[in-house]
Amino acid sequence: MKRTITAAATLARGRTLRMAAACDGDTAQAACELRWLADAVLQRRVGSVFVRQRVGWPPARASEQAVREPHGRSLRRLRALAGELAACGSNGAAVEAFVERHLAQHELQRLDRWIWQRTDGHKPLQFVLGSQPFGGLEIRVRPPTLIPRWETEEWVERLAADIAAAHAAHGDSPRPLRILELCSGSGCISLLLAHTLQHLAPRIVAVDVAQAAVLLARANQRRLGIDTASGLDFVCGDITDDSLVPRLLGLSPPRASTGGKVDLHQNQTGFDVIVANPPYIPPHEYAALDPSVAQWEDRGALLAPDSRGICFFERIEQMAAALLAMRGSGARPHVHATLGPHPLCESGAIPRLVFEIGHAQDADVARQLGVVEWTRTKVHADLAGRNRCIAKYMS
Amino acid sequence: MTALTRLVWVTATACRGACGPVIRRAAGPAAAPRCARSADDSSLLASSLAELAQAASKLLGSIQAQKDWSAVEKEAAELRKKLEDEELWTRDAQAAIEIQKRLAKLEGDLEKLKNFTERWDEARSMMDLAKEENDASLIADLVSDMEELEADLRSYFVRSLMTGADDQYGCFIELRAGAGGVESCDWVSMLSRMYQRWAQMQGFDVKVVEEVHGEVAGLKSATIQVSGDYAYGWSKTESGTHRFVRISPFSSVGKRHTSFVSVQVVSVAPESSISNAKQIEISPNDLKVEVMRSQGAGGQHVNKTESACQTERSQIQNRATAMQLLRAKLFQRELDEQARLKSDHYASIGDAGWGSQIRSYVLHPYHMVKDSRTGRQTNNVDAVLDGEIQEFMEAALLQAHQGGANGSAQRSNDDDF
Repeated sequence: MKRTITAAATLARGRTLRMAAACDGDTAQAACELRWLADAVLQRRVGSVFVRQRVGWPPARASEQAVREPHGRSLRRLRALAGELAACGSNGAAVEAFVERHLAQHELQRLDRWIWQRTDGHKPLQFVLGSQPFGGLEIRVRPPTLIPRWETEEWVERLAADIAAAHAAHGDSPRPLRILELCSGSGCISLLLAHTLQHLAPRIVAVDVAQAAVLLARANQRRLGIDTASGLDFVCGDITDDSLVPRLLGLSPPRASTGGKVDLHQNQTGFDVIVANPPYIPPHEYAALDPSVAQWEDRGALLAPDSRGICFFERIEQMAAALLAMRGSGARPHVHATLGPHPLCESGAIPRLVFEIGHAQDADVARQLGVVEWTRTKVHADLAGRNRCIAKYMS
Repeated sequence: MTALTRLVWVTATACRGACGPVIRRAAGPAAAPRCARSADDSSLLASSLAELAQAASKLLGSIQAQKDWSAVEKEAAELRKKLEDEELWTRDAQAAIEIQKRLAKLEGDLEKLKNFTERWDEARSMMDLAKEENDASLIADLVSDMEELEADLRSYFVRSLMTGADDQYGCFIELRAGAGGVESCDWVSMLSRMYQRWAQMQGFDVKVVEEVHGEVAGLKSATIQVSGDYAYGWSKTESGTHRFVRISPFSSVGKRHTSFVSVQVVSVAPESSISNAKQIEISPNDLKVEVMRSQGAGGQHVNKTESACQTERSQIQNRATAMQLLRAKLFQRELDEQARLKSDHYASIGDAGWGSQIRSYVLHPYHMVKDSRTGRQTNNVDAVLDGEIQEFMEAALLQAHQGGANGSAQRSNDDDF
C-alpha cells in the first residue's frame, strides 16, 4: 500500500502539486490551470500584439496566409505546439512533461512566477491571464474590476434568448428596445446583450461608479468591435446620487466630468428593461471571503453595507420607478405621455427589472417594496441549484 | 469532399506522378554511392525490391479487381455525352450538376488508376533494366520509388474501402477501464496517449474531451476527440477490448498482471450531413444539464474557475463538446440498432473482458503486440505505444473488407498467449 501511494505522489509532483495549493488541493483542476498558464506563455511567442490579434489563438490555418512567411512557418509550429498542449487535458504529468520539453528557460521562469502569483499571491487566474470567456466573448479583466462569473453568464444568456424569442414572436417593433444596466463593472452583461441581440439593435446604457471599470468596459467594447454607433454607451455615475436619474433620462445635460461626450441616446424617455448585478455581499460574509476575492477585487463592487446585503437592490428598485418607461403620464409628469414602453414589455413577454442575487436573498429581493407594482416575479436558479436571478414583470 | 477539391487533388497527384521519378533520378547518382557499398548490400536491396514489387503488384491487382473499370469508363463516356447536350442544362440544371459531380468522381478514380498503372509500368521496366545491367545505384533508387508507390497504393486502397456513410468524419474515442484495478486505469492513460500520438502523426487535431481520474493512479475513463478527414474511417476498427500484460509497478509482489480496457469509437455526426437519412434532433426540453459545482455561496463570493470534469475555460466550448459527444453517441446507438436488426452480426462491443478482445499488448515475459483478428504482430511494443498503430488499422480494415466470416473464425482460437 505504501508503494502505491508513493507512485501516485510521483505521478503528480512538481508544478501541478504546487499549483494545487491554489485549487483547494484538486490536482485535476491544478493541471488544467497549469495548462492554461502554459498556453498563455506560448501565446506570447507570437511577436507583437497586432499580429497576435490578427492571427488569433491558436493560430488559425487560414490566417497564416495573411502573415509573412517567416511568421507563417513559426505559426504552424506554434499551432502544433498549442494542439499538443491542449491534448494533455487534465493530466498533470503530461502538462509538466510538455513545459519541461518545449518551454525555454525564460518562459519557464515566467510560468513559475505566475504559479507563485496564483498560490502565494492569491491572484485570481483570470487576472494572471488577463481575460475571462463570457458567453462566447473574451472579456479583458484588470484588477480591481470584478471578474465576470459563470453564474452571471448563464442568466444573461437566458435573458438574451428570452428577448430574442419574444422579438421573433411579435415581429418588427416601432422603435429599438432600450436597456439600462446599473453597476456594469467590466461591461460583460451589456456587451453580451449587445452582441447577442445585434439583429434587434437595442439601445443600451451602462453605468458604473468606478472610473477604472468604465474605462475597462470601453476598452472591451472597442476590442470586441461593438462600436458606440450600434447603441452601447458606458457612463460613469453613482446610483446613490439623486441627480443620476434625470441625467439618465436625458432631461438634464451631462455633467462636465463626463466630458459632455455622452448624449445618452437623445430623446430618452425611460428604459424598457433594467438589469443589474449590484454588490450584494453583507459585511459578515465579506469578512469571510477567500483572499483571491477580498484582496484582488473591488470592495465597492462586492460589499453591500447593510446586514442582509440588499440595500442596493432597494435603491435600484426605487430608481426603477422613475427610470422605466410606463404607460400613462401620472407617475412621471415630465415624460411625454405618448411615449410608452416598448410593445414587447407590454405583452409581458420580457421582464422589466432583472437582478443577480446572492445565494440566500431570493425572499428578501422578491418582496414587494410598494414602489413599483410588479405583476409577476420569477426566480431562476443557477446550474448549481442556487437561486441566482430575479426577474420582475409588469404588464 | 467537393468535386472541385477532388479535382485539384487529382491534378496534384498526376503532376507528382509525371515529374516525380524524373527529379528523383536526377538526384540519384549523388545519393547512390551511400546506398550501395558492397555486393551484399546490393543483393539485399534486390531481394527487398522484389518483395516490394510483389506487394505493390498485389495491391494494384486488388485495386483493378475492386471495380469493373471498363464499365466505369463506359459510364464516364456516357455521362460526358449527356453533358454535351446543351438542352440538358436549360431543361434541368440540377440534374446536370449531379451528372457533372458524378463524372468528376469517375474521372478522378480513372485518373488515379491510370496514374498508378503508369507508375507501376515505369517502375517495372526500370527494374528489368536494372537487373540486366546489375546497376546497384539504380536498384537503390528503385527501392525508394517502389516503397513510395507501394505506400501510395496501400493508402489509396484502404481509403477506397471507406465508403461508409460516416467514414469521412471525425470521431470520439472512448476508453474505459475494465477488469484489472489500478493497472487498467494506468492502461487507459497509456492507450489514450497512444491514440493521441497516432492522431498527431496523421495530422489530425486531437482534443481531450473528458477524463475521470482513477483513485490511485491513471484514468478510469477518457474520451478524446479526433477531427480530420476520414478519422473515423481509420480508427473504427479499434473498437473492442485491448488486453495488457506486464509486471505491475503498483503491486509490491512483482507478479504478472493482466488488465483490460474497452475502447469504443463513435463518429462525430455533423449536424447537417446529407448522408444521414435520419437526422438526430435533440430538443432542449429533453436535455437535463447537470453540472458538478462545488458547494458554497457562488456568485460574487467566489472567483474560482470551476472546471470539474470540464477541460476548457469557456462554458460555451465545454457545452458544445458535450453536445457533440451526446449526438455522436445517439447516432452510434442508432447504427448499432440497425446492424442488430439487419443480422446478428456483432456490431457493438460488450463488456471489457475476453469476448470482444481485439488486441494484446504483452510486456512480460516477452515483448509482443498481437492483433487477434488479423494475426498481425510486432515485437516493438514501445513504437506501438508511441502511436504507430496505422499498420494494425490497415490490416483490420483490409480483413473487414475481405469478409467477416473467416475473420471471426480466426479470432476465436487466437488467444494463446
